[in-house]
Amino acid sequence: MAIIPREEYLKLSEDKRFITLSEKDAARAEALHKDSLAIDLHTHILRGEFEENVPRLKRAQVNGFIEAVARINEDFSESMDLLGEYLEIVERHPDFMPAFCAQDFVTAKETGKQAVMFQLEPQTFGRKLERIEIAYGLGIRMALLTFNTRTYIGDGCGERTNGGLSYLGLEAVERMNDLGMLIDLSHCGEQVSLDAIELSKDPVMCNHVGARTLYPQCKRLKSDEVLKALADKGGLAGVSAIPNQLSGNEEQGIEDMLNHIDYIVKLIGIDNVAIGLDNVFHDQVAYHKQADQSIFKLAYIGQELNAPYMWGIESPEEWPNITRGLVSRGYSDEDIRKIIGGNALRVIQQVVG
Amino acid sequence: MISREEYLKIPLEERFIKLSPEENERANRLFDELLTVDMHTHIFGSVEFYYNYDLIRQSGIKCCFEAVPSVTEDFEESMALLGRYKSLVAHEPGLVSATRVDEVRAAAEAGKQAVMYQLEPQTIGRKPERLEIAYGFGVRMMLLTFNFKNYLGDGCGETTDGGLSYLGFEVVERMNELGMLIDLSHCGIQTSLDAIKTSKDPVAINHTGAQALYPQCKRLKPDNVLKAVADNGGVVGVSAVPNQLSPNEDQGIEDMLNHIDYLVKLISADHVAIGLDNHFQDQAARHRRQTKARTVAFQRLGIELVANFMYGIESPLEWRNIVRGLVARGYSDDQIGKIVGANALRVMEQVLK
Repeated sequence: MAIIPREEYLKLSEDKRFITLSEKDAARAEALHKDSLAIDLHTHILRGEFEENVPRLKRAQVNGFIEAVARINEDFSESMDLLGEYLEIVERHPDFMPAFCAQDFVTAKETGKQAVMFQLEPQTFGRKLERIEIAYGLGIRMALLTFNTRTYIGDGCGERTNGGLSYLGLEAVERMNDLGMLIDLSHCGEQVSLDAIELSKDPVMCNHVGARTLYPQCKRLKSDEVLKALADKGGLAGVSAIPNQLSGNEEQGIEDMLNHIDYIVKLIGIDNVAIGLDNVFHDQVAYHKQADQSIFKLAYIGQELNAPYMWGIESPEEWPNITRGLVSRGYSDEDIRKIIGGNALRVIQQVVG
Repeated sequence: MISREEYLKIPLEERFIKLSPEENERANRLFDELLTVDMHTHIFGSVEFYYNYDLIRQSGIKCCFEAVPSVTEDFEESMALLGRYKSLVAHEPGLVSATRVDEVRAAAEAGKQAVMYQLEPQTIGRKPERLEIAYGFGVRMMLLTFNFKNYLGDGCGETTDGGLSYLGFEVVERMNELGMLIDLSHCGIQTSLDAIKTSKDPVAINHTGAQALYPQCKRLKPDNVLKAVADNGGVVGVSAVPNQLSPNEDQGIEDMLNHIDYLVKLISADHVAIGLDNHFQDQAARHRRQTKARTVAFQRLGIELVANFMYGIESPLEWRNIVRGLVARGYSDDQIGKIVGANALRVMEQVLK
């Protein structure tokens, strides 16, 4: 495929954007996607104008999302305000419901709603670990330990140094385990990730990453060692669909995602792979260009803006294409169900209840 | 060894170092004439608030660089405390808030005591714009980290000894631009070295001592850090906190003088200053309470709470005894003048714009 601009790509019909399948395979993928319980472990669906996105979310046919409450300045009050706004939207909308436990996702599927669980990205606890309990009480069920930079808890993947968890970090992991709050390590440094996996009594996840081996310069991806350690503890690697984080190609898309899924499945087994797209409905590359000047430096995480968008998985709307892709790569129905939601539900059930 | 209660019943003069009548006269003259600067005070209390003007007046210190504490690194909390301190000073005719050396000199000439303000530790979180806010409210020095990891670097009692973070480098640069002193007293070794190397201005380690004299204590600084501070034109303030200068059961002014002697030999009398870090309350008892409440982990600093008080320098009331001790150890008037104030003033004049 030749590179076409993003605006033109968005005008293409679904069959042109989606992976080509035989009629039989296409029917199988459609039925399987509709029938399975699908969960996206890392989303930003509430950012922007939610009402405009509702029809697109319906087309995604995903039963549950874990929405990131993102305040990069790590201000606790601001993050709680944002959580309140998000909860209000989800509570009042007839087609959505908030999720605070695994059963809520099952209920959403049964009642034809879409459930939204909330995570902090990154955590905003500062040095006040009692805020973990406050955040839990207000509805948070997962927290990212560090963003790309250093926090009180440990070093991010784009920091100068690769120190492990601090004393406070050890305590935070313990408290999250006690409360039943999921630990996400997607943006954490290598040593923080290894420390947290080792110390956590519960399985943990890297909910929007990929395999570093496939794209070594990108620090946002995880090494084989981290991925294996995750799996040994029963945790999950969620594969993301952010442009320019899965490969350095000029054309990127669903095939990059599938390459990472294939690699990780071979490395750690089918039971430990999931999906956490982390993409949005607006132009992500434009956003990254802007962010590079303000809130984070792409060079620090080894990210170059080579591709303008992700063909076939540019927004959550194209979620059914993941199932098509997994069919095209020869996965069984059972394996596909695990990757697109079954594994996620299992770990949420185990940690959150 | 006597108890602290019994010690406090001893008249002040009898607690002091014994001198010949000539030395006694010389020490008194120097203390009254010199512009003494205590680079790290807690005259308004430490973590617990405390204020007694009579005690501050009796201490006879001409300039106090008061530490505004917030162990949780909460910006609003530290600014609220600063406001409270400054209001007390504004309503006390014998005290004056200062931000520049000429103001300190003018206060001394008018027979007043000058109070300057530092944050211990800094509370800017991930918002470097708060540096300007703090500067605007009168803050002229900042401790980059307390004993633990924060957004800027690692503390001396942390699991890791990483250097400054990217944000840490940015903050050092901004402090240089604003004209705010950098204090490294509680920072880890690598964070200290990075900050000294990066800072265009001289920096201070305003309440510490020489680790060579008490190797297990992480709150003290190794020779390479001390030399780097001196090479950059900065100052090292010697503190008088019990159980940080030696592991002896009896501790006091002689421990302080031992550290001063060592430092003068290592980096010369041009780079040594005083930053007592003590207050008018029972410090050893407070340290035990903090250990019990787990607010400060002394074992992570290699500190054992053995001694109950500092003989001859238990509170700022005994400041005069430092000058007596320096006389007893054979320092010249010029050297004494530098150590008890002139070095601090030189660096303040150079850095504060």
